[in-house]
Amino acid sequence: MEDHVKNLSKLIGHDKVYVDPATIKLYSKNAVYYEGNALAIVFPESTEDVSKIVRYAYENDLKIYPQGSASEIVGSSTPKDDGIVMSFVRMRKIKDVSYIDSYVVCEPGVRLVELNNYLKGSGYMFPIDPASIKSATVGGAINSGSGGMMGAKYGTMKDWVLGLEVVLPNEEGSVLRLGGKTTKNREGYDLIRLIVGSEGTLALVTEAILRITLAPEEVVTVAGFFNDLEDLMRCVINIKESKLDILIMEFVDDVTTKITIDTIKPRVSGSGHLLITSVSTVKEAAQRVLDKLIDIYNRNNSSNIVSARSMEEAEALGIFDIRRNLYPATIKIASSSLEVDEEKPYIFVEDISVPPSRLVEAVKRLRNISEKYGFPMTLGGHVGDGNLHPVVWIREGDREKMDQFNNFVMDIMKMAVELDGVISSEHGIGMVKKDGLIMSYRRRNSLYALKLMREIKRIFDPKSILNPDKMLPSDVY
Amino acid sequence: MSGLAELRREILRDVLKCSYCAMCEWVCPTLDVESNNRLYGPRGRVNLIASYFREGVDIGILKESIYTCLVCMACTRQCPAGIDIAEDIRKFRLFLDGGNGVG
Amino acid sequence: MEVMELVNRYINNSNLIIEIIRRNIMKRGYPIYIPNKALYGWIDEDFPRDGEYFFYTGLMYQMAPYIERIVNMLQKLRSGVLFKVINILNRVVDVSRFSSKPSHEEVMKMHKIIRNIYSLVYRSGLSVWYDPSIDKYAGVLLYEFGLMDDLKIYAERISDALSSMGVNKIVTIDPHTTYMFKKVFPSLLENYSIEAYSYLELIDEDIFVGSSAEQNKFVIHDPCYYARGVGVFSEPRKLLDRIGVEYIEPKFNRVDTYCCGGPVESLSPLFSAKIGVKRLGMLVDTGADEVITMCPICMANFRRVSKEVNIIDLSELISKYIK
Ligand SMILES: Cc1cc2nc3c(=O)[nH]c(=O)nc-3n(C[C@H](O)[C@H](O)[C@H](O)COP(=O)(O)OP(=O)(O)OC[C@H]3O[C@@H](n4cnc5c(N)ncnc54)[C@H](O)[C@@H]3O)c2cc1C
Ligand code: SF4
Ligand code: SF4
Repeated sequence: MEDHVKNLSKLIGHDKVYVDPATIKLYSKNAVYYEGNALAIVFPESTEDVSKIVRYAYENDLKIYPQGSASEIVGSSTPKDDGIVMSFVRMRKIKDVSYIDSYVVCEPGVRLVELNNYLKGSGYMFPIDPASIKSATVGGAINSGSGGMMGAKYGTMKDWVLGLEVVLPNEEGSVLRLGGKTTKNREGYDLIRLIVGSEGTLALVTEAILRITLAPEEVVTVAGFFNDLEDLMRCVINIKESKLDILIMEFVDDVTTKITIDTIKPRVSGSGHLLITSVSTVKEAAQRVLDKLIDIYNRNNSSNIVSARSMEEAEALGIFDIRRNLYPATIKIASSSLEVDEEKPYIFVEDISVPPSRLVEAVKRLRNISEKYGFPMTLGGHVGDGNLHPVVWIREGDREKMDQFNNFVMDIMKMAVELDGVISSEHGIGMVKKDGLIMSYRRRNSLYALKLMREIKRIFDPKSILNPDKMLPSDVY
Repeated sequence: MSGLAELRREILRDVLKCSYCAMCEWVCPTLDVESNNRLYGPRGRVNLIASYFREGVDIGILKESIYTCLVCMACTRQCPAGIDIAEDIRKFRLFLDGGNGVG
Repeated sequence: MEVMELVNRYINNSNLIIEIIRRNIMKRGYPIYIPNKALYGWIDEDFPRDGEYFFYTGLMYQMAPYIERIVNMLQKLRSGVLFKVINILNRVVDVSRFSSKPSHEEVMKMHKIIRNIYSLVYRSGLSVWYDPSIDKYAGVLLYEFGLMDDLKIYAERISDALSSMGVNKIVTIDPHTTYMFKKVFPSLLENYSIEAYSYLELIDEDIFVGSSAEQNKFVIHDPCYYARGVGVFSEPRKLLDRIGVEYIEPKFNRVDTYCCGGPVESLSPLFSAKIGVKRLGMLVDTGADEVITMCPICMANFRRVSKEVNIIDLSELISKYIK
């Protein structure tokens, strides 16, 4: 092991290799609780560094665990003691931007918030806005296939990557340039989309060309509360039918709304299920669109309606307070639920999707599952695309609950699949959902798909040195 | 409870809320300037403090991390867990100093 | 790496540095040695000795030029052994006396800033008064190092002295002292009843002529302890707007401001300088010719890392426009 460290230091410079236990510990965790271990943490500063490390690792059977901010919550970024963490945080340059051609070229360590700050003032934006926008890096978001609140309009990461520079985990540490600066590209198989969402198992991303888009001229927003979930769903359907350009469509269930209001005292308040809808429009039409939206809310028995003619007004009114504070409120509740002082709460965010038309059913069944296991749960989601995020918390010392937790998650995933949905929408598979993956493909009689994926992995990574054991189950098929 | 034990409890309770989300890091000047090593940012500091109390950490490295903090409070505003990060770090210095009479 | 190695060395010596500073504050009333003339030489003879608001400088502006010198001295003391010797020596004599002295101009510049601030509050119609015997360092470093027990004793001394002179309202002139009086002392001391205001909160906008003649472009740098500490960030902007001075907002402004790096100067000067360079870079990148600061620590740290950029104190700029 010491040899590896010495050799790596010689290869890329000793200031890019860390081996002290404190650093290793800090790079062996993610945003849930997966703690691993590693031989060293390396901080490449260029594609050349990455390639050198890969060549060395290949030759010496050293595993590489790529990492951005480690804000993932499925175990996709955590290492084991058979390898090194490759942190991309020092590759943080935004290299080029073109408004005419609508792209930006940047290194993988750039955080999404930094990217948008950079674009600020130009009228353009990068529209993938996960709740973790302040931590998520370009490399991490690409490899997680992340999405965000504006997913209703802009989809997920897979829709915004035009080109990639990657280093392959092979003998030469080959550098490939895929895609380019154009939106249209039909040059063979779409390897870019294969790498997006691959959770660092196929290739190391060292540069990305991302599509950018004009920020909407004006955004109007309405929030309202519904006693009846069916009313809320009808409201969603009516909005969709009305051909408005939906930007954001967020949902928080009644229990969670109450908990959040009690815990964080948001500026907007009411009782029942909360639906927040933002519509993209132009200045001249703003009032008309807003009136239409309010009318639909009213027609569906919504109460405590709050509306804003612009994003600034929405922020000033605190329309998003409840939705945004779901996570903080959950942490607060989880922390205060601890019985012993020195315990840590673990917070688990689920990530299923169902077709939006099946949402009512999904919510009802989720509640049954939560009741069955006795897990208190908060629930919110992106109704625009049917993505639900049930959240539960467990004391770290509660072994029994931890064991039950796996069954609980499996029940949720089964339910999603039964409703023609998916087990993971934007967070990924990592270490926690491999069983779910098998279940989902088995149900569709398509286990062979997993075999295909294994083969693909083998072609990219013949010695399996890149993020091994992540995402793909090793047995079955 | 003695002053020092009370102080320990206060700090530990707060830092254990950390969910490792990293939202505090982008504003931290000390993380930015030199190595970009998590050790020199709020998330690292908060978790080293927790480790110090729970499993023990190398005291040299811990001090390096704790005493390079500017206590500028930029991170505190970012934390969704509501951890009073800068204040915990400052209090922890007090703890390291043997409580400066508190104990 | 080189920088980090040095940081390590300093951190390992941090206990000793902290001890030197602690001893100085507790025993001598200031963290580093400063001649009396530098501390109080700015005073005009005809200051009122009585009034509603006590003008509390907290000595931070006066100290700023000296901090750089002492830091340079500490920087040279590389070996731990030497440090131990110094520490023992410091029990008898204040070792910070042995650092080189700042230039006369630097000291005078700070004095001028203080006088400017005094005239700003005075001209705003407030009844301000001054007495050097109760204008003391507010214990900022004790607070930052977490030496709360010492701080409590020290703060009691300060507050008792003020009370004995009948002071119940003070005007502060730098963010750190302001923070101590507004936030720290109230939670630390029982029976604390001093109302503290930053001078920026008290200036009457009508004392200015509203027609800026500035040719240069300015960028504004918020100090952490004004912006995040006590929520003072719109006040300076209002004043500049009133005078008609155009200023640019840098990346990271108002409550989201970016630290100048000053606070760790005494423990890891090189680390602190790196942060100073980074922040100054952001400020200069806006295309501004001059940087507006409101804190002597920010000013000193920026000056330390660049002699080229013009760093000014807000009070210097606005006091030119008093009617
Ligand atoms: C509070 C909170 C809220 C969240 N909200 C959302 C949300 O709304 N939407 C959403 O989609 N996600 C969300 N997430 C999950 C997570 O933040 C995102 O997936 C994020 O994009 C991960 O970015 P990261 O830089 O932290 O990557 P990491 O966590 O470090 O890594 C993620 C994956 O990418 C790989 N990887 C990283 N960089 C590279 C690279 N350069 N080359 C190859 N592989 C690489 C890693 O190995 C890992 O598999 C949330 C997480 C938290 C804690
Ligand atoms: S208070 Fe310390 S940890 Fe927080 S941002 Fe400032 S320097 Fe970083
Ligand atoms: S923002 Fe708060 S919860 Fe998140 S990593 Fe930082 S300290 Fe932990």
